[in-house]
Amino acid sequence: MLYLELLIQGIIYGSMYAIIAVGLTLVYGLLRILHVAHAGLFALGGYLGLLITNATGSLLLAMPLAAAGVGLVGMVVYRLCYHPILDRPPYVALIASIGLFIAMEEIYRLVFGPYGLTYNDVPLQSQIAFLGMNLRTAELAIVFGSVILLGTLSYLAQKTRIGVAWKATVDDPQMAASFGIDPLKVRYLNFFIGSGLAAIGGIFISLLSNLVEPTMGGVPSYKALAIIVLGGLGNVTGTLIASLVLGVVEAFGTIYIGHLMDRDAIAFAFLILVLMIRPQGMLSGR
Amino acid sequence: MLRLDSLSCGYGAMQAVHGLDLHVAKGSITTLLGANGAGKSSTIMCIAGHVAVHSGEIRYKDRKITDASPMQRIKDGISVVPEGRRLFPNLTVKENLIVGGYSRSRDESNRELERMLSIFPRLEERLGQRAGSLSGGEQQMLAIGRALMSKPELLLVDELSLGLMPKIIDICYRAIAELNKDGLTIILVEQSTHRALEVADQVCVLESGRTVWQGTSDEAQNNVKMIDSLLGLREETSDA
Ligand SMILES: Nc1ncnc2c1ncn2[C@@H]1O[C@H](COP(=O)(O)OP(=O)(O)OP(=O)(O)O)[C@@H](O)[C@H]1O
Ligand SMILES: [Mg+2]
Repeated sequence: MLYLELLIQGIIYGSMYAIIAVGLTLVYGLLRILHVAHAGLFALGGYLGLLITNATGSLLLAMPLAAAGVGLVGMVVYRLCYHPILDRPPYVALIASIGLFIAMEEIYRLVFGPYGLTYNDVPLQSQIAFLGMNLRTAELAIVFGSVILLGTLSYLAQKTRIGVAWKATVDDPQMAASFGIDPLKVRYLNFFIGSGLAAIGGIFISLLSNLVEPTMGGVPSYKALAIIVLGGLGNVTGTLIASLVLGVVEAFGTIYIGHLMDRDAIAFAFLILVLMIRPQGMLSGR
Repeated sequence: MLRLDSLSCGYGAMQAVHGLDLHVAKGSITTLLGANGAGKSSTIMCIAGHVAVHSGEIRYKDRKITDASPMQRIKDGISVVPEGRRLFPNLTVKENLIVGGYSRSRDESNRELERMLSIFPRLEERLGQRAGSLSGGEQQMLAIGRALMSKPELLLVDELSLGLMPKIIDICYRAIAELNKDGLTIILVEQSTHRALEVADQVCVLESGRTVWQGTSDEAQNNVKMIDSLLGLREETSDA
């Protein structure tokens, strides 16, 4: 019973990591940029979600609005921060991204205050019985929400023309352009979707902790970066698997070695261990 | 149909093609010959919009397209089968074809897909297979099919027969001849002089980025020795 409970806890966190890390891996796959500022967008999603929920009382309204808003900000980030330096070596974009992330944290501090915000009335906190366990509605919503969103994404990538165009651009941008696919449009779409998902991730985490603060992107960003390396950089399936594995390892770790290190320390110890054994990632990606 | 007027193009400061003049008539097949590094692929990719023009002009259907983007050119009907095929290896055969027809409407693209599969039935059995896992011959058929999905009026083909079995080469050349009969204008880059001269109307031989011989294919047939020597093939038998 304990095992099942830990497994479920792991899946809950794993889904949350997945929804953050997918945006990151999409950007890496397309542009070969480590998009650290993704975590800043994640935090912005948390803020917008919480503020809209507090103002309107509706989380269901807040989620799409925050996702769309952060998606647009993601497009602006691409246009202003990455687009001008695409032909420079990758570390230039990495430095720009880190700088942008720090700036975003400071902006949140100035605009929303340094101490963080809480919900007037935290949504989805009622307990429900699930396989003999008591779970919070929010936890189930995170798992099902992630499955639905990632499933939709996968459907779009397989079945729509724009999805196929996006995959073609990842494979060979020059040839894709040669057949009439505008690489700029694909990049905007990529940042819109990835950032929108990050926003949902930010809202999910705020539902568990009832806290949105300027630095909330920090730890998830390091984890997500490590996850996409584990999953084989740019490999979406690998990223999803790595997210779930990390969530489950964390959940079991907190029980068995929780007296030695906390949750985040366990996660990073595991990531370091795996990368020492398989530096190319768990699945050998492209 | 297409005119290159003293076209020079290249990569950064490196100039690969120097002052090339070429007139391609509608419905004709033009063959570009030349030794390795002569500038054939650079010329093809320049016409497709991927290599920077240093000077000179490209005119297509009486319009200057020197500065048009690759996306504009495919819409105008210029499509390319690039050197090395450059399929999208992680996409399926069908997805590669969908990308090929991306510049056309969904309906047009679906109609072209049917037509393509009737030209290359081998591809129909493999629609769901990853392009990267196809055999060399199937990849070349797919590369041609992908280029045709955009309903081009001018088809640029780089190295049609390279690395293929004679039987597959036959299939590819038959397809080229059929398409040409239906009015498609074609520029063909070839290593194998013999096959290329058979289908061509016009021949252009490049050396170090300059035209060293230009004429009709009949003239070329009568001067095969001379052309072979220009290509540096004199000591070898030119064809298998
Ligand atoms: N991407 C590139 N960057 C810099 N130089 C290039 C590039 N591609 C080709 N070149 C140079 O341009 C010149 C012409 O090359 P090109 O590929 O056009 O020759 P080719 O006639 O197609 O030869 P091959 O028969 O080997 O395919 C060569 O000197 C080559 O080194
Ligand atoms: Mg070449």
